[in-house]
Amino acid sequence: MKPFRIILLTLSLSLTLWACVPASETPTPTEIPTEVAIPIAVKAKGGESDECAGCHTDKQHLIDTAKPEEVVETESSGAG
Amino acid sequence: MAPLEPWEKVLVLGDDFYTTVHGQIACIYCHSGVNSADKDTAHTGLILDPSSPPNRACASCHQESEMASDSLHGTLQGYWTAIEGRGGSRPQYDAHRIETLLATYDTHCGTCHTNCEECHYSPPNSEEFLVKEDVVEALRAKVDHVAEINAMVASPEQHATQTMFNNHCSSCHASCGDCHISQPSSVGGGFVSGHVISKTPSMSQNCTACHGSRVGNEYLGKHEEIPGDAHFRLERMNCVACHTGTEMHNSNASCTECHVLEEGVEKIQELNRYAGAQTPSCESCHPEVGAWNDTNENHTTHFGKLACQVCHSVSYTSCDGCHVAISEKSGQPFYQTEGDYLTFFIGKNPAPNYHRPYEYVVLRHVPAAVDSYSYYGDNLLPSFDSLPTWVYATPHNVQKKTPQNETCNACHGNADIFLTSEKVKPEEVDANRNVIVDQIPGPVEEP
Repeated sequence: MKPFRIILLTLSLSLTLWACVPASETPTPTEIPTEVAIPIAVKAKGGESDECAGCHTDKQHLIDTAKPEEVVETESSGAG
Repeated sequence: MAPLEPWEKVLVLGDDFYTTVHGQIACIYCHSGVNSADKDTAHTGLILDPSSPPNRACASCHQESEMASDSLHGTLQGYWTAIEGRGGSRPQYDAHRIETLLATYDTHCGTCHTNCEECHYSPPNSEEFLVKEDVVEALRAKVDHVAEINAMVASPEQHATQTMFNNHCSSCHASCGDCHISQPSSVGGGFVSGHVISKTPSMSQNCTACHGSRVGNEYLGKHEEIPGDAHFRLERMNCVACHTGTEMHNSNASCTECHVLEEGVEKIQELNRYAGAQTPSCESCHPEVGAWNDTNENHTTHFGKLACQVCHSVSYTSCDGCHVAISEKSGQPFYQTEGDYLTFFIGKNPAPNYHRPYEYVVLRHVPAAVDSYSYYGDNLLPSFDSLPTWVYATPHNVQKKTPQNETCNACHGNADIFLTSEKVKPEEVDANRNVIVDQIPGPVEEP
């Protein structure tokens, strides 16, 4: 009977100690940050040349390719 | 302001622009188009002003720019306030939507009713399919969709007024880019600083590019022998020193400091620009004026009774008879005003309110005429006399010393500076009854 008591005591003690062990952290759902569209993400890819900038920073190229504006004489008169 | 050359309008100053935050964004993100060296290909689908409604470019980062679409610069509500105040009106519903509804009614009503026999029947020995008029009438008495839709259809006068507005008034619409990147399109457009996005608009190339003929000329002192506004002459204050971004981007901001939206504050701007709080107010920078310890007797005597400009502004521009039309020669819209001239008249405050309790204000003649829109239709301003043609004004040529504040009797008893009935055109007297001064304040004993 004694060995049985010892086993029982050991089991009870183990159970008590196990119960005292801090529970493993339950993962709480965290808010997944909403991905904000960052315009910089659409920056021209590395190596890809920005043709718009190439032309629009070149004064002479703009002068050469500018379509002459049709000058329309305004018929408006007086303080607007 | 000299117009820019075509190339000058679109020249990006690379060293300046590409080092800014906005310069890190690919051009086609905002402007669409195609990243191509060929000009025509590159410009396929190009959006010239991405900040024009629906403004997906600016609003994606700048939430305040969403509010800007509700500001007066975005809605141009000021025009409609004046037009509707004189009896003009605009279509309440989009014409395309009405057409869609009518088409839907004709083709889909059956899906809303249980069966054809509810409203239709075939007489015995007949293949005709007739309408049960009494049933239909009974149904319409409950919900008359046709009447509802017909009520949405605009009148010819409303169409005409909307067309006039689109051809002329709408050119004053200002997008984000019109203030922060380019000169307004109404003066030809073109980058102000090589596409650098300026937080503070340029006074000359943005603000007074549109607000030039009255505000700009007065503020900068461009009228001969009339000095510019003291705030500009002495302090070099630019427009945004008083007219802040909050005011520009959100017309209701000043209201919501004290009121809740449920009070209908968003409707205040539809009443009149002088209906709500003064933004800016003179007292916000000059709190001593009219305060208990103000030693200036003129202030303590007149505070709250006179608008500040009554004592502190000088002659300003008034205009007569603006008419709009489309040129037969060029097909372009144009306007003609019959004349502009300098005046200074004190009149009655047409609508005193909590924020502007004054008895007297200064009045400017606006170029509204009963036939201003006659090119587009007859009698488009049927209640022309409902609003004065001499309107409450806040001239931007404030001076400390003015002819009318030199002495008490420079103003008191001086009929020349009050809008009395004989100074009003006979045909406009009825419209101006609530601003005309019947009896000018009499002379007083000088201290």
